[in-house]
Amino acid sequence: MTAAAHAEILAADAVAVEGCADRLRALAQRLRGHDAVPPWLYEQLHEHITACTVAAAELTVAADRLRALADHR
Amino acid sequence: MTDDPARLLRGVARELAEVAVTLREASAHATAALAGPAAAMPRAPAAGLRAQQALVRAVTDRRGLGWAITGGPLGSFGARVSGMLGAEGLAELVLMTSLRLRIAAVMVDHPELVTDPLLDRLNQAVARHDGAARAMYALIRDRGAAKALSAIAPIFGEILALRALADRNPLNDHTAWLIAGGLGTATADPFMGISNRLIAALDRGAGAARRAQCTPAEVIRLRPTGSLLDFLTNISVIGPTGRILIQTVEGPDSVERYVVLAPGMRMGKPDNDSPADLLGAFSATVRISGPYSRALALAIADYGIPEGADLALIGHSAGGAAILSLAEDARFCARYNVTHLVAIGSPIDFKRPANQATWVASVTNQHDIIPTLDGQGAGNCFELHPDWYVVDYTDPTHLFPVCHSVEHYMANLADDLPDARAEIDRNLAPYHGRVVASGLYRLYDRAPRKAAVR
Repeated sequence: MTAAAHAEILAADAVAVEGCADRLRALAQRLRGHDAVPPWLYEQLHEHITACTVAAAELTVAADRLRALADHR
Repeated sequence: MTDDPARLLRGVARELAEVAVTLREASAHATAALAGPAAAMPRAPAAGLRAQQALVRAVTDRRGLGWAITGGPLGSFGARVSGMLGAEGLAELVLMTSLRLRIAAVMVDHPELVTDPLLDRLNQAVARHDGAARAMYALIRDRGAAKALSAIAPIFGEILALRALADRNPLNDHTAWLIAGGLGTATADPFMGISNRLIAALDRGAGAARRAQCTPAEVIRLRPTGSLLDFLTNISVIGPTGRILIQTVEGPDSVERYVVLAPGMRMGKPDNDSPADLLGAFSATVRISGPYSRALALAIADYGIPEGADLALIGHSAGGAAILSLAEDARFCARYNVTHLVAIGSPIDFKRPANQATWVASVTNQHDIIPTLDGQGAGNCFELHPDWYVVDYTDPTHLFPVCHSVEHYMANLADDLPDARAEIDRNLAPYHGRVVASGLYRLYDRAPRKAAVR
């Protein structure tokens, strides 16, 4: 697979992972104040949201650099 | 949002599992980019290096995807390193949160998991990823193995998957993903990671069936009519002896239909001449076709059921898994019209009949550990078969193996689950009627020599 093809896949993954962060954020919002939700879940969700945001940014950087590499060909 | 707390938690667990799968795919793609030749660019070394640095960061940064080297040869190496360092990926961490929520959902209906101090200790240890083995040992020492297993049966799959994700053995990680993601039957044991299919492959043989005779005592006890409890009584009468019963029933419309009754595992040596031994039970769970289902097909052929005739398959335990395996065979379903399939206490979550019109019922007691052997139990948060009639219940008798016996299931269906029994019987109505003929068969892994037939 070419660097350009990897770049496209990773760029799409970055969007998907950012989508995961949005989904988790919406989930945390929806569950707020619900009696059935174990208290530890909110902390976990916020950790996961932060990690997803960082991961999406890093995947975007990787995709950009692979694109730049492909342009050198 | 649903008002049912357990349903709510299962819904959240399912969403988290889906997020985890997305993160795992992204991890695998980034690993593939890092491992592939594209990032090594001799003609643009500086650009290649920058790309590699970004990829390494993407798959190792603890603030992001974590230790996310997964898939392909580099993934195998990464899994070993991860095992040695105890480094975790974000995908795994999200999946663990999903599993913990599944346990929380089960606790809503099983308060004993919280109020029992030893079970609570085990749950806490599993959640902390620390001391689970010690907590399990303490539970077994205090209660004995049977009671300990019965107690944790509703969350058995989740505990195994959590442990497999948190331990330092990369061989069982795939199984943990299968269980936690609802993706399929466990392909390896969640402890050591030994391949289930490798073990199941030891269950060999073309299958064989020979006519047998009921004892006079059995003849007296066999029910002369057809209904769910009648059929289960007949399974109880022939018992887990390596034999099956085929019956012809004259339905309310005077049409003759056929019922195959498959009991559970034959007791005795783990690998004897019966396909319904321990090895066969294991193989029936993880494989599509095995000696048990092949021997069932041969018995049905010998009984002389006309092609195209209506057929109901009813099985308990390994017998339930075997009849599902048989129903997965498209050639078998083309020959006979498998109208109904009832599995009692069977691990069948990832099996599908070839004939989509087959009506399937699955009845499982949440403290029975056998149906959870495919990795899905009371905590399952996936709609694996929305078209099936599933009865997953709990009763005050928590002790395994008692709660696994067909007699215990019969008692539950008779006394505690009248609605479920009525619904199954309503669907089995074409098979309600007089039993006009019966054939008992002893099944074998491979055709026995004449002298060995008994």
